[in-house]
Amino acid sequence: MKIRSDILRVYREVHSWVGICAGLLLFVAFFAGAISMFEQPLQNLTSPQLDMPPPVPLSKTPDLLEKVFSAYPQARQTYTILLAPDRTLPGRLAWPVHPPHGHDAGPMFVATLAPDGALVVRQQAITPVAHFIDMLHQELGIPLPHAISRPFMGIIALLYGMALISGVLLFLPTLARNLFAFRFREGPRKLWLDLHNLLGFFSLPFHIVMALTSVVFAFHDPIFAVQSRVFATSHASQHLPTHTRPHPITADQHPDARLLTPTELVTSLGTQAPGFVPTTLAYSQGHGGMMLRVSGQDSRYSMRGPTAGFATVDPRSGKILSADYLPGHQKTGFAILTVFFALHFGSFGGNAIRWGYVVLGLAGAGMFYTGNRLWIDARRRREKAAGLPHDSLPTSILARLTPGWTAGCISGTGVILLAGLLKPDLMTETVVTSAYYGVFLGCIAVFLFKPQRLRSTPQSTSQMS
Amino acid sequence: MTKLPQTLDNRHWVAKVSAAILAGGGMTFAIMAVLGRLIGANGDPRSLSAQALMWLTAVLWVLMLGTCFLFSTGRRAWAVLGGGCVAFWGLFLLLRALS
Repeated sequence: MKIRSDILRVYREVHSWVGICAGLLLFVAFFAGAISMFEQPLQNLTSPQLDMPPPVPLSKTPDLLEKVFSAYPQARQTYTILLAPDRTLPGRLAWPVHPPHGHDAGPMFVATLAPDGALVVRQQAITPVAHFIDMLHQELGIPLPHAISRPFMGIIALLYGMALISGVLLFLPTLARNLFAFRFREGPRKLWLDLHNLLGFFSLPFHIVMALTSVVFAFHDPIFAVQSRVFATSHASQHLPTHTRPHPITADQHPDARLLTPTELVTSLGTQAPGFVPTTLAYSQGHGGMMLRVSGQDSRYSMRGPTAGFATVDPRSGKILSADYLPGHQKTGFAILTVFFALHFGSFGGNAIRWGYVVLGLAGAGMFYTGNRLWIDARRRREKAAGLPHDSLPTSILARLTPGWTAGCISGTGVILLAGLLKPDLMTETVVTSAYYGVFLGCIAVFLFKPQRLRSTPQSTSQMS
Repeated sequence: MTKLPQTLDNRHWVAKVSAAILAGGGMTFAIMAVLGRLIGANGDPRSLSAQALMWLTAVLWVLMLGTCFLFSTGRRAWAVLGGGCVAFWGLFLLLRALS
């Protein structure tokens, strides 16, 4: 394929500038994202064991509910029945310590019954290590206030999208010639380039999905806000075709009818959605009475969330009210959109896919590292050709920042994970944050201030700094 | 974007990128509004139409940012994308007035 040389030159400049602005941030996003593929197991591994009797059998849950409601009346508002208790929630019932607002539920109380029938309640003890790594992933490793970090991430995602478009354009003309090239002997630059192209080309679909989903994660609220302004003033909503109408989420409520017991509910779900394995039953008091959202897994299908798909269920009849996000029961349109989310989260096909995503994520991080090395080498060559005795200041800073930043991110994450495994009780939010950023900034400082070597020959730069 | 009279360079990159962000962003929103009008979207974030349009907007915006460098000058980028923005919003208002 032939592309005009001036267009290639334009896009080479775009690619290198966009890449250098976003590369290090995206490195953190991909590295922390790869680790976050196993956020739940890591959360369990790094959390202290709560001193609690084993969860009561599901059939005894009504008894437990009654005891909890009389001792903690506020639990009636929002509570979750745990069908698959784990180390972070080792009971049968959980409810928020503080009234929940937004997505983040905060700490939870967990309850079960002792063998003698006495109520046992503990506050959840979660070590914030796994969640911290997830936030590194979402905020690109820069601790900005939430209101700024989202749009900031979105801007970087847009740059990432531009880098992908320009990168593909640049690689197309030499695709056939260079795809499997691996030039060890022609100096480090060619090797970095071949590695960069190889990683970029073979994970291109993955990168396209990541760029687009991240833009959507950052900007969906403003886009929906525009939509509601643009479409709400119309009177069209009354005579919409029925299939575009939102589903009626509240059931025909009979407020006096009793709620189904968890056992009855699980049985009812099993006949309506065979193959879907429910993990939590989340009850909340809404405007139209009690609402029930069931989360669960079905590894045969894509799931909307990072670890689960969802169904809205009538808690009194057990009927599924909305299957928009229920794996395997979605309408085609919702199923297609869910695929985008599942392709970001790797939430399809079970653990094999999760491990695959760890590899893809680390390969992505590697691609950003090689991209920075290429930028540095290109600048060095140009400066050498211009007769500069040393690296210029920007080149020198970037040549030091790149290994410092990447090493800092990797070792900072390693340190907090290890500390979380060994001493989960000591790991508070402050400890985790200061440990990570201490190591991270320390690594950067070491690389920034270590004495400069003489300008090296091409052979000796091939070692990783 | 179609005809490139002289050799392309990045001298006007600020103008081109800002055109893609502002005028291009306005145009993607207008395209979303027109399409939503045609398929009878109601703007409820839970509905399929709203979500599909939201994705479309993101894709179009990224594509505009990626291709804006192909405009021969920054002025041209602003003319085409700004013109498109005005035209699509005009079309939307027309559609709304007609219904």
